[in-house]
Amino acid sequence: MKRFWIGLGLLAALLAVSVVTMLELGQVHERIAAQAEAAAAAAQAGDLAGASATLEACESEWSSVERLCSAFADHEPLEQMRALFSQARIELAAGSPTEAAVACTRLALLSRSVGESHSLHWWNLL
Amino acid sequence: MLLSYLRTVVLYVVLIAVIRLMGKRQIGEMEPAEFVVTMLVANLAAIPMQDGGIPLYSGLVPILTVLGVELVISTLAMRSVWLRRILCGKPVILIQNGHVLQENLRKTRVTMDELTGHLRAKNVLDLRTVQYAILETDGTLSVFPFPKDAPATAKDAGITAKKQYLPMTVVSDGHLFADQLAAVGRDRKWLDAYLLGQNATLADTWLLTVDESGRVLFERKERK
Repeated sequence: MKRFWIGLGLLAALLAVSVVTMLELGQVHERIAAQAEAAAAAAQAGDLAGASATLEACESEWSSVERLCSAFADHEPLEQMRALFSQARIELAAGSPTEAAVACTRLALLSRSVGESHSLHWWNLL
Repeated sequence: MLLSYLRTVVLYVVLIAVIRLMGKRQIGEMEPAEFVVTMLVANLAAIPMQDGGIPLYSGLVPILTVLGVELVISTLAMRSVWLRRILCGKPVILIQNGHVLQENLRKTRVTMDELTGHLRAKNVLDLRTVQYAILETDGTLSVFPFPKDAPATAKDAGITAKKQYLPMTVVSDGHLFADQLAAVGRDRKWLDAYLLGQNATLADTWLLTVDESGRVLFERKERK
């Protein structure tokens, strides 16, 4: 029976860790996506300073969780997110609102899809 | 490169622990469920080992989940005949009293070639000498010849067989197993005296076994 309880305990612990990881990653990426969308909207409205500030805050939050996300998610989309952050920053600095908005929107979409890829939906299960 | 190296070490250690926790049966003949688990675990480990872009977590979680499920299911299967039947099936008699049960052969999808091949592996040339041949749940074939065709035992020949004893390894490659020495009713003084008689030391000893009757096997290390 000892192995039974070890097995059950292991399954329970793994389930708990997996659920927590799923919720955390989902929330983090949703926050990043929301901030990137706000930066895109600001850039499209012509407020480059506001867009830069929002993007900077977004990137700062991303930097604080990036390593943790790397431990639990595939690296390729995270690398793409890093590239999009750089692109958006450069476009804003160059005074190109449309290109910056595009980069921020792509960043938002990618962040949301990374978060959703960990969520418990039937299409993810299949 | 270093990452790949470290991941492989981690996964190797985890796999060893997983296989050990699952029990010795994983190494020997396997039931269907055990075979599946072994294959799964091996393949799951290979993915994060090879691809540094995939988190180690992606390999560890499925491996540990498989371990957890296997531990739970195997314990439940021990207590439930119904679950055991579902997971492992049941043994099937293929030969009874010298006759092949063709219906059972068809049900188990074993061909006559396979059956005769298994019989030859058990040194049986004439299936009429087989009283029972049973296909076990792990895929092995158990063969029981008729008593008149089975090799004679000491009891059949009316011979009083000598007792046999299990030799305990007391020294292996210079290393002393004190608990084994105590188990055969000997102590360090006896060992030292024996080795002195052999003009050897503990470090010179490749193998020394003792059984309950006091019989000793001593092998000295070869000099390089």
